[in-house]
Amino acid sequence: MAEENLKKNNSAALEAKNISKSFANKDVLRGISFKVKAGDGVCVYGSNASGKTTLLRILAGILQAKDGTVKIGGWDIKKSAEKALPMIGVISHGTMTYPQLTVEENLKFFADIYNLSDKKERVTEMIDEMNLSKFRYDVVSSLSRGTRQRLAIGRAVLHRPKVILADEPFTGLDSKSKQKFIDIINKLKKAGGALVLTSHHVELAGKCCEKIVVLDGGKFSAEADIGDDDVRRFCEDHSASAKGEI
Amino acid sequence: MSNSINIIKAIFVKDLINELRSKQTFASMVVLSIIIAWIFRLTSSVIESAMVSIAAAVIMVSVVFSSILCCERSFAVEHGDGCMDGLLSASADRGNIYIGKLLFNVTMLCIFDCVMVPVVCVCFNLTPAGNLLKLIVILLLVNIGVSAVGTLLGSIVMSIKSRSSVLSILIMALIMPMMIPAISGLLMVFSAGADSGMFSAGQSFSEIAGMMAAYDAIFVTVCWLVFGFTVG
Amino acid sequence: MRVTVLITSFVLMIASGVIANTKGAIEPVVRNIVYIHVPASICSLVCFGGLFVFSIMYLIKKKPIFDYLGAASAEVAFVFATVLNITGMIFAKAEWGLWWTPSMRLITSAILWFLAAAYLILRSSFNEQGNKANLCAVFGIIAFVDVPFVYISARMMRDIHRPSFSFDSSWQSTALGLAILATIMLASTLIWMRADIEKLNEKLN
Repeated sequence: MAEENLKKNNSAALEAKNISKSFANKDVLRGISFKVKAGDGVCVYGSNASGKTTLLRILAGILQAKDGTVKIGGWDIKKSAEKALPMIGVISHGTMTYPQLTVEENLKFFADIYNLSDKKERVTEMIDEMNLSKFRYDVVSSLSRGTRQRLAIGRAVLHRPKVILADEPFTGLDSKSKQKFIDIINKLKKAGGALVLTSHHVELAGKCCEKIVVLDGGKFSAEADIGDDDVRRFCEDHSASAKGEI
Repeated sequence: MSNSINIIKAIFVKDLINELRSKQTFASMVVLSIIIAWIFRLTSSVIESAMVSIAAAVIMVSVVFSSILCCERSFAVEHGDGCMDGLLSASADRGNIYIGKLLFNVTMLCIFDCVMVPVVCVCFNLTPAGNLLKLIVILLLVNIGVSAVGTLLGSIVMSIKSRSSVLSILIMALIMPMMIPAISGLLMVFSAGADSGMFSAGQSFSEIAGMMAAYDAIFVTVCWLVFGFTVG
Repeated sequence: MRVTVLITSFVLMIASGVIANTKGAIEPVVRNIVYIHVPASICSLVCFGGLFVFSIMYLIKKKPIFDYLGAASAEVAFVFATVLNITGMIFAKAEWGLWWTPSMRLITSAILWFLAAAYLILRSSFNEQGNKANLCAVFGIIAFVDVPFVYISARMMRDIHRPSFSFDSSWQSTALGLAILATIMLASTLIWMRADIEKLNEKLN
């Protein structure tokens, strides 16, 4: 139904309107609005404590915004959460995996949570695709950071989401795994998916995003196409760290 | 509905596997209860006539302190490595997370009781004297009540540094109304009679069980309803 | 407005005291502690009710003022529960020769005190302010739901707190009524003032 919503109306895969959030009466996000169409990728750039993680957590349905709405594939994340949430895949600072469970058990757990009809096949497919076959029966606590991050990516795309929200996804990955992640994201985008990621690695982000927005003082202070020259300079010029405020 | 049952079952099984592998929580619970039983036994050796009352107290104290360990640990597991965020972004109904955790905590306490109660009976030289079914009913109702409150509070204290101490204060303040009929019931089971010490005569077992069941039903419902506000 | 209410409550308290000391005196003199004990008991329950209402309002409306009012209600409930327990112990010692015993009313008073104390401990334990208001509101609701069970379960205990005397003149009932009204007015003003202080604290921070 949501896919029909996307195709017929050409509505955005993700639409955020007027998102505001405050912690202890301090505004962290102020009136954030943006759209990401199917097949597009947006990189959110910002200095530390600019609110990137908070924004991503609100888009993922983990935190409640003070004001504003988030729609995934046309479905409101608050009012139609049971339809919107299965369309989101989240990659975060933490790998969201259980250290005492094996790689296979972690994926099986999330397959159960998402109520996948082809649980076993999909888990095996993810293990193969993320090169985790060698570690299938190993507990996560025994794995390296890079391997855990690959598992986290596998967990995030296990249920074939339409939107990927990734918070610093390149952290801890070697160059091969970084490329693997970029390939998976680009494949997802070709199939009609969308991407919102936060990263300081604008060069890498440029391989899977078309647009970059700078989050500064709780608002989007600037945006540019990633194809533009010297995007890094652009980002630094528009963020607080460059202005010496942090 | 079937999706909710799947999620609850998945969380329950995941927590059980977690505990079977780490064995941290259960071992601590058992050792703690043995220490409590021994301390009370040693200090009560001068008051032979009050053995039954003291044994009932030991059982309650063991269940309460062990539930604190269990409930705290069940959420500590989720807060390492952002696992709770993974659950929240996947599950529309946060109440499912609460029910899954509640079932796990109740199961852990029931398994714990199977070890703890025989230890207490051995220490204090007691038998349930043909009241085994009543004992099981009382302990099950206590486990559900303590877990209902403890699961919610376990989630609340995750944002705090001194989790264990604050959790123990919060749990004990809330479960006192349930402890009174529970102790009265345990005294009945161990044949001390309901009219014992501070407890008034005339309470039947069904009245006691009914009161505890009402407490459990209301607190499971209320905690399930408000759980969503404690996460995210 | 607050000053008016405060002054009125003090006037009513003085009136209650004057009546209690003259026409409404109970013999022996220690029993006159009932003019403080009973209003403290009623007031602490009213404050718990306030905590419940403000907690629900905060979870629905998410306005900080309800959080401040809830916290203030818990503090005032704690104060009156302390007065309740101390006056109860003084009365128990004089009347029955025991400072404290696990009987029905005494357990009830003690648990109310514990619930208020637990809320305040929880509130003071947060490092980051982020979700403090939500979590305290949840605990406020659960604590209030616990209160009826406190009363029901305490009925299972022997009650030495049986009324050993009753009022035999309308002056005594009047004095008690005035004391209850004055205490509730005082509690409302204290909650109001405390919530304002909390609001100013947040602004300064």
